[in-house]
Amino acid sequence: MVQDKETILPIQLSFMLYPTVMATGFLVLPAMGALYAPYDFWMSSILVIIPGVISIVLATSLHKRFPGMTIIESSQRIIGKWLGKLVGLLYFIYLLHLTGVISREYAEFVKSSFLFDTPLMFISCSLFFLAACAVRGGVSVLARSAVIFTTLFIMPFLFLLLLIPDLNWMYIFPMLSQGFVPVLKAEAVPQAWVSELFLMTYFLPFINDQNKAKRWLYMVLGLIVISMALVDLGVLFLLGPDTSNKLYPILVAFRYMSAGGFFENLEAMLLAMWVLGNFVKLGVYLYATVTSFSQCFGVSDYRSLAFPIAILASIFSLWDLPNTATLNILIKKVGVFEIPLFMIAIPLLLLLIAWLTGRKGTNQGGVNG
Amino acid sequence: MRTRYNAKVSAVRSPRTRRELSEEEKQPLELALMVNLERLRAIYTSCSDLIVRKFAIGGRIEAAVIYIDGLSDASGIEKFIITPLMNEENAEEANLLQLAEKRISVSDKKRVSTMAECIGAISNGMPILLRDQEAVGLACGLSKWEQRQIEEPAAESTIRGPREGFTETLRVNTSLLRRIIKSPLLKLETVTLGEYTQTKVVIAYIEGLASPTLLQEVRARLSRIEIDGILESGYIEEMIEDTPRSPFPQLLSTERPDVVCSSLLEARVAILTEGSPYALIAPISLFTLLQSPEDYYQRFWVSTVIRWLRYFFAVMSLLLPSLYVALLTFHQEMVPGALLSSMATAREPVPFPALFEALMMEVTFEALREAGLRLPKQVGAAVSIVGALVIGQAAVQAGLVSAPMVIVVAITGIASFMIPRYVTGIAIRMLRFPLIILAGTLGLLGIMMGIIAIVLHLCALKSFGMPFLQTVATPKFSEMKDILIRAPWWALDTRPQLYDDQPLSHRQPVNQTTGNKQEGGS
Repeated sequence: MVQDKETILPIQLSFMLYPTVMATGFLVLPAMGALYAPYDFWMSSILVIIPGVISIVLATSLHKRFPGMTIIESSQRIIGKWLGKLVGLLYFIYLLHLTGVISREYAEFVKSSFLFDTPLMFISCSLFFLAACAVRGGVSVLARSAVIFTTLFIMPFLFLLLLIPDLNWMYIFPMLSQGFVPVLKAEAVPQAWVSELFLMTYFLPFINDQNKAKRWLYMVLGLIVISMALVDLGVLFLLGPDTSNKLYPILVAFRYMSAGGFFENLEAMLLAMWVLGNFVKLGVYLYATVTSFSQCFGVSDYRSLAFPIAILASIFSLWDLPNTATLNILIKKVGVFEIPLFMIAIPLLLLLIAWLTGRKGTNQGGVNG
Repeated sequence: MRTRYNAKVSAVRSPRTRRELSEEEKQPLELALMVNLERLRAIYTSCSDLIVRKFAIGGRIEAAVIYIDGLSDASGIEKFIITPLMNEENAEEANLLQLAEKRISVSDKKRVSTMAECIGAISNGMPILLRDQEAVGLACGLSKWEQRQIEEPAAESTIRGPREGFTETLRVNTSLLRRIIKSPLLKLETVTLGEYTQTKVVIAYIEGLASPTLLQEVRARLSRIEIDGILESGYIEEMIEDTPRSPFPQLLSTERPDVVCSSLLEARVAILTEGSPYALIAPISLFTLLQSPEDYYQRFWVSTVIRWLRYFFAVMSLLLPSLYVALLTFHQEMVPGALLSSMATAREPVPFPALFEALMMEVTFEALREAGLRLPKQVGAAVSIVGALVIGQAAVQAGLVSAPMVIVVAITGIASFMIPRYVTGIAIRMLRFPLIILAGTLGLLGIMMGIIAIVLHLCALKSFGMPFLQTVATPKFSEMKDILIRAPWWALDTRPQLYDDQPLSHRQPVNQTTGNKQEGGS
């Protein structure tokens, strides 16, 4: 089916990328950081700007060299057709796995805190169904819905201001009591999350104005850093060194909120906004997975693949993860290396090879719709 | 950004079912008057309202006037056609057309030379004048029929603003448009649709403002319609929409000429139908469906605040019952303590779960509302008393529903009536029911799923190629000043850019050259 080229605006891209990092970031990152640096984990959320900048630079330079192509297509140009397809296949399988893990995180949170008796599969499959509908509608539908949902996602955070009377500012001390190394250790998980910004490589071919895109991308990175720092600080001031004992510190914060005996127990609002944020994240990941598959195997219309690949990814949400503890270990120990491998290491290698061999994309790469 | 029209509709019927022109209809007019009259009488057998008036021009040449009683102006025919021709003296010399120029004072005249053209003219109320020994007839513009006066539209009344509404006659409606937009750049193209009804449909647009692609698309979609009859513009609307299966309308239907003209000035296209007071406007966005013409006639503070109220209540009408059900069934902890205990007390005698109670009440309310539309005035008052007393009071006292539920339903009802366009209100009301069911089964998660599904649908919806959520989801800050607020008139200096190939740049000069400092600055 021949269709006109869809385009998205840079502002829509940043609205899509913000929940891609922060939707699960708000929930799990503070506790992960606090494990290594009980008082200083907020500093790691500022340091996170470095891997973020690296991801943005990698994605935009690759796109500048090979305009109109995602990393899957440009890898076929850089290291030859068959090796490139192998890289594409690797990306597809890895993204499939990662999409499954993300939906598992979402379903775990919903099930353990709100819907205790609902089966995990039902929760994750219902969101997969909606995400597959969004991917089926195309990039522009995903982008437009992301604008609306991200706005709604951010709004309940204003409620965190209600916590100000309960915060203990003294918890920020002692600062750097064990040196800088714990901060670097605490940096491990957040940097994996921020490197997920590299997924913009799947969307850059649809943007007309690349310079404006760069501006908006750095803006969204700044916003991510600021929000992570604020949430970390907020959680630190509220819970102090107890933060690492909580699975979802921000859930505790929302539960704690009470204003005039009227606004109480607002964690259902956290659930609501988390569904919206995770929908966008899952939609972006699913789109990346579907695009990797279609570009690796040369499928012309990616839309018909949305539902089958969603079903495959939903299986990965259960495979080899029998309980929450295993999921946590996956994130803490494995994800720290796995995610930057695909989001920073491989693209960096490809960019180096392209730079050394001087390969460029001369003609329009032809994004497959 | 190029747009792609997702036009996938038309009531295409196979050519076999189309009524072909019969053999008699294709025949040209003959020289002999009697032959022509016989043929016309044969076509119009059993049509007792067909009148054939034979007379002699100047007393010597035979001629006839044929018309349908009730569609043509009988006294005008007598005065302007028959009498002058009867008194004509040099009848043999002139042919019909020269005679007509000399004697007939009717201004709108058309030549007809085939039976089909004659039938077309007669059906539109134009009497046919035929002369012996001439194979050409004359159709005169003497249509006259009973029609409704121009009244205020019932469903779109405003406090401030013109009170004229369209009627069923196409010519009256186009004249209403011309009275507002006097520029000759307002173009009106006519198309005939409907096999048996031969309804005239007019495409109105302002040349130089409307995008050529849009015009082409409108013409193409209208020409694809093959249907027995067009009784209302609603038939056309469903057949040319991008996605007729969506609950949201993608064309605006309005009875007010000022709404149509303001849309034409914003580079949109209007479609008027003979026999229907509702005009269709394309393309539109979701926010057009939430606007009222009064927004632009009142001052901007009033309009802005009422707009915010309207948006809030539109969301309320969609979500309030589902939020109530979700909170009471799954998330009781979110309800403030004192309120929770009073609600629990109120709900104690009710045997039904909140979901069932809500569905029951909502369905009853919808039934009441629909019944109220069709009741004659005398019974209307009784029904509202019945509604208020029986449903409200007695049901609560009988323990069938709880008082908070009645309040929720009442607020939801009022909220849905705040939406100025009836069709949008219905769309939102319809969507309320699945959300209630989702809320009752999955709680807040279910509501979120429903919201995601609705927003996804709206993001994918297009109206004639223009995305339905254009200004918000594809953020155009210059156009948001008419959506988020209603900017004052001196600030509304841009036209919305609907398509890429809209001819005029989007500046519409608005100047306030003189004025007090108090008015101009803020």
